[in-house]
Parts: sequence; C-alpha cells; structure tokens
Amino acid sequence: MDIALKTRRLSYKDILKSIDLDIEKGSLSCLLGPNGAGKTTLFKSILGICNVTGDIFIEDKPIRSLSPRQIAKKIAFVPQQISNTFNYKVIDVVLMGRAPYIGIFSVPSSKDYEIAYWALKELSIESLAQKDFSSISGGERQLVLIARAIAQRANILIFDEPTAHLDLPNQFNVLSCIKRLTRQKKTAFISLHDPNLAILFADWIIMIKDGKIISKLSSKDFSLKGYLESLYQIELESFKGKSHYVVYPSTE
Amino acid sequence: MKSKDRVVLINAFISLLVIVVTWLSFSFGAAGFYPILSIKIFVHKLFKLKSPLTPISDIIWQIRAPRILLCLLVGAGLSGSGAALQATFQNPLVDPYLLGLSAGAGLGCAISVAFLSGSYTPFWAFTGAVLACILTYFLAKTKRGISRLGLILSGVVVSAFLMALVSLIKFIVDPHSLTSIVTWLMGSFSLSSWARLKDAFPMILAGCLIIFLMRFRINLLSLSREEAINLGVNLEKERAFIIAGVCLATGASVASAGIIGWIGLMVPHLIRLMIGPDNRFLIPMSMIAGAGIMVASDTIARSLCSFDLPVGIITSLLGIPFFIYLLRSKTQSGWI
Amino acid sequence: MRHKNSVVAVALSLLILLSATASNAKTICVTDALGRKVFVHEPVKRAVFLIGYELIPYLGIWNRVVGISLWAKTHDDFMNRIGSAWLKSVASVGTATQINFETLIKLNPDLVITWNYKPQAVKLLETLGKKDGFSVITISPEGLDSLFSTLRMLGKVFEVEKRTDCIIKKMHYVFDTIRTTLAKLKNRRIHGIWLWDSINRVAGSTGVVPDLMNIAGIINCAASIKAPYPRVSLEQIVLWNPEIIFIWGNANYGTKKILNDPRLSTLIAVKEKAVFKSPNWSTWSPRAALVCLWMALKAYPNAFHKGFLTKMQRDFDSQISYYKP
Repeated sequence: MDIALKTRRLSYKDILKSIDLDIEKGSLSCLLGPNGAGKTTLFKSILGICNVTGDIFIEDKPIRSLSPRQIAKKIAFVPQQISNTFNYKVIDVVLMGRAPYIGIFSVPSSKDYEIAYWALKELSIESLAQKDFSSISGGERQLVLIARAIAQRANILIFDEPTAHLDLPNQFNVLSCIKRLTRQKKTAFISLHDPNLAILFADWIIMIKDGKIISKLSSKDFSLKGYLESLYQIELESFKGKSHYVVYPSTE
Repeated sequence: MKSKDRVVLINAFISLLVIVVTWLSFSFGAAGFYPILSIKIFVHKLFKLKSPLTPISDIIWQIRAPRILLCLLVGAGLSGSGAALQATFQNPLVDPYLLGLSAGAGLGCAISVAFLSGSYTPFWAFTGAVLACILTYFLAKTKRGISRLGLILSGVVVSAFLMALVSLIKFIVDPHSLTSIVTWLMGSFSLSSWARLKDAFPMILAGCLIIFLMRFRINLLSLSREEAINLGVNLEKERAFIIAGVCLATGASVASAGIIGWIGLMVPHLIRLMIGPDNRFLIPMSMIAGAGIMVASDTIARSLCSFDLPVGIITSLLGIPFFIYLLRSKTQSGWI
Repeated sequence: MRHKNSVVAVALSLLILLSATASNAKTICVTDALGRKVFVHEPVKRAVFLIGYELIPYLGIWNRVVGISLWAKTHDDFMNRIGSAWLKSVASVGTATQINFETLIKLNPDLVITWNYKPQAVKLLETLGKKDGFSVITISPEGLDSLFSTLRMLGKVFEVEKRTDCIIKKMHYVFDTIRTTLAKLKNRRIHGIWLWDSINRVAGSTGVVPDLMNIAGIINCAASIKAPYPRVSLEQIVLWNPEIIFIWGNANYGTKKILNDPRLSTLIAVKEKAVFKSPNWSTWSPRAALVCLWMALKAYPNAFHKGFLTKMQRDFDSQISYYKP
C-alpha cells in the first residue's frame, strides 16, 4: 500500500523518542494515548512547528526539501479549536485555506472563492458562509475548520482531537465527515481520547505512550483490548456489537 | 441586505465622504471659502491650462494644496500601518509607532537641529526612524526566530532609550534650538510644501503599497503561529515585509509632519467597527478614512482660531472620546 | 588706668563698627514678574543668574555673581566675548528649565534670579530659599515698560541704581531719536512681521519685540494676536502681505529661506527683498534699543544718518563693565 506520511527516528527533547511511523494513503489512522503521551507534539513535529531530529517524508519526499508553502499544499491541519483574536466571517476563515496557492502580494481570486464555497457545500454548511465565526456552535466551528482544510486541497489531513468539546451527535457528524474524505482518497491522521470512536471510524489505531509508539493495529483486531489496557493502565471489558466491539472500564 | 453588499455600500460612502471633506478643505482657509475656484485651479493645473489665476489661487495652490495632499498621504500611511500592525501583533493597543519609529525620527530631528545646523531635518528624521526600526527588529531576533512579543518588547526598549537621548539633547541644546525640536515633536502640517510632499510621497506610497498588496496575507499573520505555519506562511519573511512597509510609510510620515498620535490607533478600530476585521477591506478603507480624518483634523487645527494649532491636539480630542465609547460598547470592533 | 582706657577705646570702636555694619545691612522689598513681593537682604554678594545674565556686564556686578545658567557658558556670544575668563571660573547651575538644585545650594547664594516659566521650580526654589536663607526673584519682561521696571528693580537690588538710570536714559535717547526722526518723515508707516524660530511663528501683540516694532515705525501685521510667540498658518502670512520681514537673530535659518520659498513669493517683502535677519542682540537687555534702531534703519534707510547705529553701539558698549580678573 502507498505510504502518504512516514517518520523515521523522529525525536524531540524528552517528549518524542525515536518514532517510526507509516500512514497509509487513503486511510483513517487514529492516534490514541494518555494525556502527555506526545500526541500534539507529534502532530506539531510533522507540521514543522517543532525543531526535531529524525526524518519525515511526505509522499516519499523529505520534508526538509519542501518549503512551508509546499508542505501546506500537501498537509492540512485542523486544530482542536482556534484562538482567533479577530471575528472573521466563516467564508473568510475557509478562504484562508487557499493561502498556499495565493502569492504574498495577491488576494483570493474568484476561483478561490468557488473552491471555498464548494468546501462548505461538501460539508453541507454553506448557509453559515456569512455568519461570524464566533457566533456559530462548537460543532459547526469544527466543520468550518474541516472545510478550510478541504479548501487547502491537501491530500493529508491531520486532526488534533476533532471531537473534543463536541456533543455526541456532533462527534459522529465530524468523524463521519472525515471518513467520507478518506473515501475520496484523502489520508486522515487524527487523535482521539475515546477508543470506541477510534474502533468505529478508524482503519488503523496507533498507540503512543511516553513519547514512544507502542503498537499499530487494525481497528478490527480483537487484541486491541489488551493493548488498550496496557496503554491506559486500566482494566477494560469488551462487548461485541453488530459490526464492532466496544470497550469500557471494568466496574469491578 | 447581504453582508458583502453592506460592506461595499459603507466603503463607497466613506470614500465619497473623504472626497467631499478634501474638497471642502481645499476651499476653506484664512483667505476665505472658495469652493468653485478650488476645483477650477485643479482642473487648470491637471490639464496644464494657461488661463490667468487670481492671487487667491496662489494661496490655494502653493499653500493649501501641498498641505492637504500631505495630510492625505500621512493619514493613509499612519492608518494603514496601524491596521497592519494591530492584525500582525494581535493587539488592539498597537499603533504605528510601535517599532521605535517615532523615537527614532525624534532623535534624527534632534540631532539635525542641535548639531547639523542648516541640514534638512526631514531627511535625518526619516533616517532615524528607519535605523530605529532596524535596531528593534534585530534586537528581537533570537535563535528561535522573531516572536510577536519579542518585537513589542524590543520596540518599547528602543523607544525608551532613544527618547532618553532626545531628552538629553533637549537639555544640552541651546534654548533657541530647543523650541524647534519641541515644536517638531508636537506634529504639524503648517510648514508643508510641494518640496516636502515630493520627498515624502515615494516612501509613503511604497509603504502603503506593500501593506495594501499584502492585505490578505495580513489576515493570515493575525492567526496563531501554528495555524499560520500550517497555511504555508513564512512568518519571519512575511512579517519582515509588513514591518518594512510600515517603516517606510510611518517613517516618512513622521519625517514630514512630526509625531501625530491617535490616527494610527483609532482609525483601524473605527473601520473595523463598521466593516469587520477582514484586512482585504479594512486596510484600504483605513487608509482612505485615515486620510480624510487627517485632512479634517488639520483643517480644524488651522481654522479654529488665529493660531495654527498642532494637529495632534485635534486628533487627541477626537481619539479619546472614541476610545471611551469603544470601551463601553458591546461590540469590540471585530475583536473576540 | 592706661590699660582700662585701651579697653574702652576698643569696645567703642567695635560698637561703631557693628552699628555701621548694621546700618549697611538692610532689607528691601521688590515685586517680581510673578507679582510676588520678595524681600532681599542687602547687600547682595552671592547672586545666581539663571536668566537675564546679559545684564551682568551692564550692572557691573561680575564679582557678586557666583552661579550662572549653562546656556550663558555654551550659547551666549555676548557673554563669551566680554567675560570668557569669568565664565570659565563661575559655577554652572543647570538651566532655567532644568535647575541643578544641589549645585545651587552648595554655592550658598543670597539671591537667585530665574524665569517664571516653570512655577513649580520657582515654588521649590522659594522653599529652599526659606530654609537656606536666599531670596528668589523671577523676571520675564512682557514689554518695554516691563523691561525698564526689571532693570530698575535689579538696579535697586544690587544698589547700582545710578548705573541702571544711566542705561535706561541711553535707551530712551535712542527711542526718542527714532520717534523724532520718523515723525519728520511724511512716508506712511510700513507693515511688517517678526519671525521667531520658524517661518510661521511670529511676534504677536505682547512682548518686547512688538513694542520695538511700534517705536521703529513698523505696523505689526500680527498685532491682533494677543500672544508673544503665536504660530500662524502660512496662508495668514500671505494674506497679511508684509512689506518687511525681520528674522530673529538666533533663528537657525536665514533670509534665503524666506526669499527662495515659493509659498511666500507673492509677498511684497520677498519681491522687494526686504527680508533681514536681526543681529543676535538680546531683547531682554539694554541692547533692545539697538535692535529697535536696527529695525528702523532697515525700514526707513534714508531717514537716519550713516553711522548712527555704529555710534550707538559704541555708546552702549561703553556702559558695559568688562570683566577684569
């Protein structure tokens, strides 16, 4: 299978320790780990925000050989939430996703506007276009950030806890949307806290603890429970549903 | 009404208002009110017509015209710079003098008056402003690059240091030159001339052009560091461009008219209240509105009484109540 | 017996001496520029001049001044010309706007002469004066009459009234000569302006300069503005259209700046090249009369005989006590 994103001996201070990772093209890979395991740092390293040692390859190209603009055309990042100082309109937030294709001294063209509206339409949120970003709900904001990532036309999408601060229906909505993107040949690499959502939506589950990758398993692998217990240092029980099984902390 | 249509309407209204204010300013002065003559003069000069002009027309062309045109330029330069810096630094209290520009220009002026008698003060003021900006920039540079906070702190330090030098020069200079320095620092368009306009025009235009062309980029620079990098922004390079634009526009503005406060701080807030924070519209409209407000303020300053008041007094009188209103207002002019 | 007589003689002599000293030590009261009633203990032997130091040679009180403004040492041509040796020996106490209080107190003055520009500084000097036993007088001549009363006041304070009377007499002589000469002229009076440190700062209706212009037969275009140094728009200057322009002697620009300025090209003064830079004589000293004469000569060159100004300059110089170490 083609590898969209690859890391070798990726290290950063004491937080990441020699991480080797392969993310398959067109897959939804989910990063699970306890708080402080290094999930956000791993994402930041891939995006070039932290100064790391080791190698990162995007579609077999070393990241060091790419400019920030070229990286942005290949990887889009959807943060948990944005701390905007300014109250931009939704359409303006999505338009910013076109930045890698717009020159320093240029402004978005009508084509960029078309792509931005198309991205909103893909997620069925085109009615939010003229609304202030701060006035929409948490779930809607997450979808707008996904729309921005879509407008960025990157093939690799990284989501840092996209379901944090969302209620149940919105969690499902957002993850379904991400899954749909992978069916359109995009690669998604997300971090979650809830292993059940990972089992439900992800193709691969990658577990990180104390800055090290401890395992990478298919979401359909039933030995997941044991790895999860080792990951979270907690006893789990499992329940087999129609197509997936569910894990939950043991009450005994 | 669609939001975009509303913005277009507001922009058109502001632009029209500025044109009217400018025309009225040309028409009005100590010599009297000549609304038709002022248009005639411009038409004559524009099309190089040779019809005889009255003595008043000399006043309008030689004295009012360069003064008003310089007001427009400086107003646009300071407001555009203020808007660009407020977005880039994510800080509503930032004004265009942040990077040591006013202090540097003040020092350049003080040195010119105190030690280089007969030299062209605006040139030294501009040189001082540019050098101060460069000093601020490199002082903020660390191994990890240049951060927003680093630039703000560096600007504060450089400004304080240079103003201390200005105070020292004010102390040791003879009392006659002292008045010249103090007057210059207060900010005024009273000595505007075509020569001064010609000197200021290319720099302010270049600075405003850079800021205007990068107006979409400024939206990106207003995001958090992580987001901006993820969207392909080369933070250091693009911030450097903005700073260069601000340095040219503000440095030349201060060199030609002294230190005029509040315009660069207040106008972006005012426009953001009306049309929102999108810099693609905010930057050009801030420039236009700033130009108009500066012309209006200067016209008031030279017409209120027989004295030619420093224009900074009028801009302060306008700016302070506006900020009180802003503080009490529910909408925070596009800030979250 | 002989021994007893000697003691009585010595005691008597001491008594006479004491009473003589007592009768010399007196207190006078003067009113200064701020309207304060100031009590000065005579004789004044240790004065500090923060302003008005050009009066020292005219009053002839070199040896009674122990401290002076920094500006006198660094920027005053007159003082440097006639008393450079003295300037080197006398202590500097800062400037009128930035007084070095410590140095001043250390000099143990009995009188401080300062400017009324910073009332807080004057108040502080007053407080220190009450503690350390010195008087504070502010001077700020707002016109010729005020200049004369300042001269008389200082004459009284330093007990050189005869000298100041003589100087004032000479000044009056110059003014009267100008008036008489101009009265004979049938010419209409010309309109003019006096420019200070910048080309748009003029002499208004208050101050010594407007009075001098008046005596010199020049109608001050800016007389309607009741301020000493108002800044006006260039448009206003063009509207006034002065026939003669005077530039302050200590301005850092010259006649060329006015003559070559396209904005002022329509002025009669510029067209007729009647733009003159004053010699840098202080108008807060007796030489104000010479400034007046100089202005009258420029405005009405044929009215006065050649050499009159030079003669008066010599005459005024003869009033100066040059410093002898």
